Amino acid sequence: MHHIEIFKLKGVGRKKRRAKKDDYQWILRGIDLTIYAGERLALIGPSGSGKTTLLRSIADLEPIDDGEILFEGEPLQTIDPHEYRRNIGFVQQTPALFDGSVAENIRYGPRIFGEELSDDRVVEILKKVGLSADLADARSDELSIGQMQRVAIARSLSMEPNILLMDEPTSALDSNSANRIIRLVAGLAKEMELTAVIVLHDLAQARCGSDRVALLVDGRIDSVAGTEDFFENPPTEIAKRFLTYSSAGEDDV
Amino acid sequence: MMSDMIHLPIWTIIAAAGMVAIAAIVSLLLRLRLEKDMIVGTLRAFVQLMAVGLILDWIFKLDRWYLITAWLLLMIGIAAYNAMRRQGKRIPGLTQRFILAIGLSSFISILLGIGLIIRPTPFWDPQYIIPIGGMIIGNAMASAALSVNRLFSEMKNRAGEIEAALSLGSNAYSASLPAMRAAVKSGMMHIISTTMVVGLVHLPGMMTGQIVGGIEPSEAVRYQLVIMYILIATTALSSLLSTLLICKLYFDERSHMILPE
Repeated sequence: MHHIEIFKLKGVGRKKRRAKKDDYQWILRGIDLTIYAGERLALIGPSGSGKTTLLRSIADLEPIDDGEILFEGEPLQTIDPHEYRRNIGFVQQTPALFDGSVAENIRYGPRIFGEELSDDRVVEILKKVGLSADLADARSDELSIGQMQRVAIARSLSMEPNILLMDEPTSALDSNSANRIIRLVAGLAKEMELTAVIVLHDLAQARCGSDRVALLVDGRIDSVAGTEDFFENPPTEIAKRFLTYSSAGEDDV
Repeated sequence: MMSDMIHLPIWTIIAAAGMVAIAAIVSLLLRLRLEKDMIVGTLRAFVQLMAVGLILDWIFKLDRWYLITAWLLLMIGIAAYNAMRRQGKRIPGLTQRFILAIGLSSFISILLGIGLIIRPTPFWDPQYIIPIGGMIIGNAMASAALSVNRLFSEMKNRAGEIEAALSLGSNAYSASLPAMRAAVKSGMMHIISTTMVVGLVHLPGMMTGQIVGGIEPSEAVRYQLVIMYILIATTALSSLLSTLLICKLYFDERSHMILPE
């Protein structure tokens, strides 16, 4: 099942203006990466390595300044951005729910395209992310942070995406709820046959939550490998050092 | 109608400027360091207003529609520049959009308010269109500046929500709707709160001027009411237009949110 190419990134680069300076800095440089249908790919790397920027570029929430991204063989720039994003679920690091009830949050996406979800459908989506039906009428700002993140996932599932992109979905959570979210996503990916790309800071989560990992260092892809392989036999010196230092709680390679 | 008004010779202005000394003494005693700004402000106001007085005398005397139009356009330009200057984050294209928003909302207000309601003949009679047009443009400027200030801070605070909406397929405008509503509201609030207390605490400048000029208070009040009602529409239009036009600047052509750092 790993042979259909969903995304193909060729030489993707992204530059950003440096704070309080007049020059630019390349956040991403020459990224080549292929993402296959049905896989769960973890993007890992030290802070500031460009993981989030890469994910946001794939989600088309940020432009790229070099190279190209192909989606199912088509260059991203040729696809209508709203049509593109509607088919791709995106979950933010810190859940940002809309004002109003949980149900309204879940109805928001389909409503953009003129579809009104029934109460039953809302409950069905809530159940998928492990939330009970009586939460539908709760106000979004009354929830715990763990519940908010589940609602955010539910909100992206309301569009019935085939692809789910998640930016450190567990970083705002305590380790208990973080692990539950990782298991939930793994279950959803299997059940809905999703292709999932997840930025993860926690290596244990990356190890149990992915089929493949890509290690980013300084805006470049250092290595890509099957998850077990990667952790058992790190493919590069940098990967080896990253695993050693990260498990020791250090953040630099 | 000017007959019962005291003419102010130049020495009265100099004497009044002497009253600034009271403020300067307070500043010196409390070490507020406002003296320099006070002196500059006093002189600047003198030069600016004297010059404006002379130019307006000339425009009134010639009474040509194109001179009056040019004066109004100049005021719109200055207002737009000022609205831009009041923004903490300035991005290219801001001034042009302020010109459009302030210009269009003022044009509509002048057309309806002066053309259909006050109805001087001719329509461009400088006695009406210059002072009232100036009030309209000034209020359009204040609303536009306030709205856009608020728009930026709301977009920044709600960046997460806006991107969540974009990621669901929303377009830039509907994703920014909560931020735009807060922005328009903030641009309209000041005139609406003014209407609540007007006349109770202070008499508005225009009414004060008319009364000093010898107009009966009950007549001056009528003018004030008409102007205030026109201004409510002006601020609504200006807030709405500037918010709509400038919100678009915070997105690129693929609806990526590009807020200035």
